[in-house]
Amino acid sequence: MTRYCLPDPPPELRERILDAACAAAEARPRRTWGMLSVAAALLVCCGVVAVVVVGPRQASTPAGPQDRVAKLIEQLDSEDPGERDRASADLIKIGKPALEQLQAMKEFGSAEQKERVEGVIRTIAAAVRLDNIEFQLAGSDRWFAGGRSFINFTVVNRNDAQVIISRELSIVIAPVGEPDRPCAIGGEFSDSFRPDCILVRQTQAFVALPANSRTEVSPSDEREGMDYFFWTPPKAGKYAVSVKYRYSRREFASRCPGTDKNCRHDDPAQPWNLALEGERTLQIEVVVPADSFPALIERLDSDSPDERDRASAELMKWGQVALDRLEAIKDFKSPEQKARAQSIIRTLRLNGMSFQLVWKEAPRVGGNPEIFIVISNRFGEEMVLSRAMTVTIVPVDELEKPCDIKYEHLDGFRCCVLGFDAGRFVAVPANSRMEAAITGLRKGDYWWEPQKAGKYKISIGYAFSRKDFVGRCRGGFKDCRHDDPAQPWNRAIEGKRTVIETEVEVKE
Amino acid sequence: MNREALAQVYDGHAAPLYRFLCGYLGNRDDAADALQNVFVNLARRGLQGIADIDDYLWTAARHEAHKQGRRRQAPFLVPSDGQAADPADRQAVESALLCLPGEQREVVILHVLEDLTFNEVGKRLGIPANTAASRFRYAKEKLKEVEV
Repeated sequence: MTRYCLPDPPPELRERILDAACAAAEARPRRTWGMLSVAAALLVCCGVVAVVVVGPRQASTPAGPQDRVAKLIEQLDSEDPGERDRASADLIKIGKPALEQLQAMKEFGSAEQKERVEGVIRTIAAAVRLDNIEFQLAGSDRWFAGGRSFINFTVVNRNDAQVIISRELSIVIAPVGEPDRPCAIGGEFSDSFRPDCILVRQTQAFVALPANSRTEVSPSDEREGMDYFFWTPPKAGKYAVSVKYRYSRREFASRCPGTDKNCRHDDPAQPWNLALEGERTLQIEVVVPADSFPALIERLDSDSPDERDRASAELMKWGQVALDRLEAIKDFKSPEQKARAQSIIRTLRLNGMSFQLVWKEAPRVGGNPEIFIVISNRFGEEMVLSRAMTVTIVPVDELEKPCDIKYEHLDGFRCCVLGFDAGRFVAVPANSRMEAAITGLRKGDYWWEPQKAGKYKISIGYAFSRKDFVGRCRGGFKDCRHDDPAQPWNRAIEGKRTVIETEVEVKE
Repeated sequence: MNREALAQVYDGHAAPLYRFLCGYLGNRDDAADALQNVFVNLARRGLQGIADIDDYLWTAARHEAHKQGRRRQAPFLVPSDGQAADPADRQAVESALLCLPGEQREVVILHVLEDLTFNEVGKRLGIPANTAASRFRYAKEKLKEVEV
């Protein structure tokens, strides 16, 4: 009997697929992460749940097909000056997708064509560099003297990717009215280029942070980085926090002599020869109140129940700051103080999670929009609390009907439904993880294929009760070891919350 | 995402994905289209945020397979020993495979044609090994009905 196997892909398929994929990558629509991430950061800092629904991506400008770019390059050598001008303008309009072909040109029909190609390259390169560098800065709105707080900053490059252009970035915090005082250096981090660079995690009054060691590397660089640092205000009062980007190639060259192997001025591909020249500053003002945070914790043990309630309520407002402090306390003065602190910790941990629902493309009938559910813990790290999460997508006119589950995925604890290839409804308690560790980094992508046009309601909820879990699990499964405190179900946050509720319009 | 990175991913993962898609979709052209969609989507999306590229690609390939469904059948199996096969015999095997429901077909492809264990099949498909095994059992019963 003949035994059969499946065929390997034909060799020519490789080039076809890579060509198509590269063309698609060039035409990739811009994302809108910048503001969102900062909004999320800000909200998380404030101890507020960040619920961000990103709309469907907009259609991008079409990628200049290679032959169109080739034709325009050819027209740069036209006998008609008007046609040459139009070709230059069109190439600049195409922008980045044309850059590779322009840069690949080795032979030119004329000196004018060469000059025009070089000019177009310069214009496009400058445009894409200057295009979209954004600074965003968010600080906790809760500061206290002697307490450590976050400040988040984000730099977004022209591809809407978050980058760190840290070598040329400085962050200064100074009491209002004294902005020009020199930086007090809390810890030093010297790099090859700027011996005055310092990396500061915990400082007193001032921070200067040209930070770790990256410059904006290249137009295609998509290194991600939303950075934050801690700051401990020394005393109550108003402070100005400013982020400044300043780069001058000439100054860099004088700082970095050509003899230094690390700064090759003759290599145009080096970041210092690509980096955006200029100066930009962003500033926010923060107020450090006179109230003493440790005193609030003391008041949790007050003799007066009203006073204890007020202290609890006040601590809740401090969000992440309170969480850090309360989690660090090992010994409490009384069971009451401990119980209140633990209750605040639980609530703040749950509130500290941020959820984002991201559509990769607009939902349409028969389409398969990818849904990214991005969950961040209170440190802004992505994770999935999946076993305790449900996602439902239901037509708004059928909200009362039960879910029509088409694709079942039974796991040891719950009849989980993986929203893969599902129909009208999707229930996704996701893959199979809870908050495995506070630093766990997980992300889930799901698809949904709408069956008919109309409005749909999307709900994402989190619910976990250890008691219920034990009831469901009853110790009968080898995977649910109730006696092991390290297991995720013994560590997960208890609570229930609908984290996202939104509507989406599905088109034909 | 640059071409070099994509090529690296392609070289490391495309062959088993293509074989799977061939078996699932029942013809090579659709498999090539589906594989192209997988890589186009990956290129658009970038590698950022993908914890396990293998998992991502398999999920995406299955998604493409489910999305495309079976549109037309064309010879897609080849004799493993390189000898000429009886067309009628081959067509019977192909038809039997394609008559299986999608979730059973993918288990059969991976377990029988790709020689993966049920544990490996489960991991690939994101289902428990027991589920993979039971789907295989159902598939066998179904294949007995069509007398292959």
